[in-house]
Amino acid sequence: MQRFTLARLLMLAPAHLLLLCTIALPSLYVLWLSFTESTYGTTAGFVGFANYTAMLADPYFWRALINTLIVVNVVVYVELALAVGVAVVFVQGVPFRRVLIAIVLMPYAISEVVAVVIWKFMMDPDIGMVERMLAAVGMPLHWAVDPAAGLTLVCIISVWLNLPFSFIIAYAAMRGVPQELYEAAHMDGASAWQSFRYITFPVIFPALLVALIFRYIVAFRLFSEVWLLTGGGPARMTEVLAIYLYKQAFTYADFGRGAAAGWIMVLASGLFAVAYVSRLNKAAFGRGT
Amino acid sequence: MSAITRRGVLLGATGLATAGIPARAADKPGKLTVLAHRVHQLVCTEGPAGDATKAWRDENGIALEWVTLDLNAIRDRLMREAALSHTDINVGFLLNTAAVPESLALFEPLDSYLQAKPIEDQSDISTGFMKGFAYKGVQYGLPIRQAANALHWNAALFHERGVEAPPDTIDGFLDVARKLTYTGKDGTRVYAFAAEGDNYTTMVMIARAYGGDLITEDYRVLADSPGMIEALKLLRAIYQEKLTPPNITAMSQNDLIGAMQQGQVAMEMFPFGRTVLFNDPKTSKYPGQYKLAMWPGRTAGEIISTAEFWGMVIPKTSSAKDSSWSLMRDLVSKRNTVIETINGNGPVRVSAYGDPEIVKQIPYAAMEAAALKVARVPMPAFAKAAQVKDICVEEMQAAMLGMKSPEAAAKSMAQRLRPLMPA
Repeated sequence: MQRFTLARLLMLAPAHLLLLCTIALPSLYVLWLSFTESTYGTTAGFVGFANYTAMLADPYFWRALINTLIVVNVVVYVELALAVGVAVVFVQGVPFRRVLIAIVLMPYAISEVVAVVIWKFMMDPDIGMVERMLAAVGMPLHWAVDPAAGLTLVCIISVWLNLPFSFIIAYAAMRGVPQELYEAAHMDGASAWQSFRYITFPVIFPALLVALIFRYIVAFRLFSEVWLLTGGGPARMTEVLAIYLYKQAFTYADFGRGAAAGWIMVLASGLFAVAYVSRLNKAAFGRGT
Repeated sequence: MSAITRRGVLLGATGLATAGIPARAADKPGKLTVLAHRVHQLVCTEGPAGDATKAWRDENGIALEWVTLDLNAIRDRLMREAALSHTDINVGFLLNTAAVPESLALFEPLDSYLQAKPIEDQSDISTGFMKGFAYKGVQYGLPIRQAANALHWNAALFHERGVEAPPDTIDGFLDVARKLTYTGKDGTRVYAFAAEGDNYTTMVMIARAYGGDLITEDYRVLADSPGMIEALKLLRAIYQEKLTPPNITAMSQNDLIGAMQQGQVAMEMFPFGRTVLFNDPKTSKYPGQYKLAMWPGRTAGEIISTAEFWGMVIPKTSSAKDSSWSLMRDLVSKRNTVIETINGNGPVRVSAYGDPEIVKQIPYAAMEAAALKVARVPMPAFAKAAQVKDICVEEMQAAMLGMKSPEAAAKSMAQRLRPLMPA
């Protein structure tokens, strides 16, 4: 192994400095802020863990956390399942493959704001094409007034927006599965499902795990879809953690509490991610992380 | 192609640095950035009376860049910008409820500017509006817009249903609303009434119509008063009987304006000046059909109105403050007040309502003047106003959607608001 000489370290220094300035220092500043009482036009005063204890005693924080966990789990798993399904179809061969791939990837190129506005328009109870069709078959989604329906629509929009990310990872991984394995399985009389279950899935699993962990962390920060669709309402029933944080920090100008919410989000997403990956890894390979 | 030499680069850099000196010394920027709502920009720059900023821009050679955001976002952005060590926002629009001591400390005191270059006839501007942006005798903001609310109604839809005018008492509101909810000949579903479902202003106005209130000027919480309970009952009935759009809690202000313009809603609560937008032939399906009425009280002829007002502030950490002040004082001049009023602004100058041009062009001028005489802010300013707004909206929505009874929502609202009042 090559030794880290001073010259090499100096050459690496700009990258490390960038990480230090853009990630480490702001994170530490926010950590310090979370132990203070701070608002506009006042000097921050140290209050210890008061912001954390106040937040943990706040029922709105717990509701936001539960909503976040529900949405994140639904979004990530539905999205992965769909991504694998679509990837299987593409791997088996479809006409105009390049055009269809471009269509599947299209939502990823659309801004979240634009996407939510489009969906909101389509789901308008009076003039929305989709909502009126749903109403016509007796299944209207009262997303503006029913919290469960509101979160369901948030999940649908989030899956629609981010499916291309999971799809491209699953598709690339599937394209890398050696053909000889399928040929051998075919000669042994394996069914299509058995080929997928015992060949495709184990081979693409590490890639899916990477997609899952990325999507889990990103989905935990879910904000735009909820903020633009329901604003956390009705009656704060669809609030997620990012909206709770935004309100504390910027609407109520309570920066200490907002910073504490930010750190709780980081810790919670990290904790859940580690637990999930560890468990899934064990299940798949019989080993921990 | 000539090669780039070290000497050339040095000479160029020196030249550029020297060129920047005079501009900085004169504190005269090429442009000023104004943070406001789209409506503020429209009334200052567009409309039947033209652009109120043009003369100032031409005279000073300074361009204006308008950054427009939604109501809450303006405050968030302005405070964040003002808390930075330097901000590019030169002039910000601040709502009266956000003008609390903690916030005002971030803005430039204006007294020295007022003495050096006074605004035209300051006594013409309502003292109450000026005081709304002052703390301990120091002036931090210059009022520019009041937004007294009125009931806007679509005469074409009323005529279609055989209803002559909006109800003259609050007790008659539901009957009229029931008649005005229907499906039109072209298949359009028409709802009788809509108001911002994520704001508390209409709730307070209805409570006052029933003799109640939310919070008094001396910070007494009346959220559980009989008047407020009646208001919640009325809002609940309006929602439960489907007299308002089913997605009302998720409708933005722009959604409401669009619904009114397209004839999907027969009555809406908005500031008087919004009638210009409703009657705009370019965007409205019923231009000229939108009329104004006072919100009904317990007795016919009683005037119920709430008003909020906006001021302009200069962040302490911004640059070109002399130019910012120059723009602000120009925007509140008597001439520009007339232009802005004709464009749809609510004037803060008393003389505006007597101006012949305004009387001629603004048919609702006398009505607005009458409303302003009795109008009160929905809630006085204090540090926790944002939390109070969220609590009110939450309890109001809970009562409307049937998650809580009106009595329980009112009781819960009062209990949650009392600890947030200033000592």
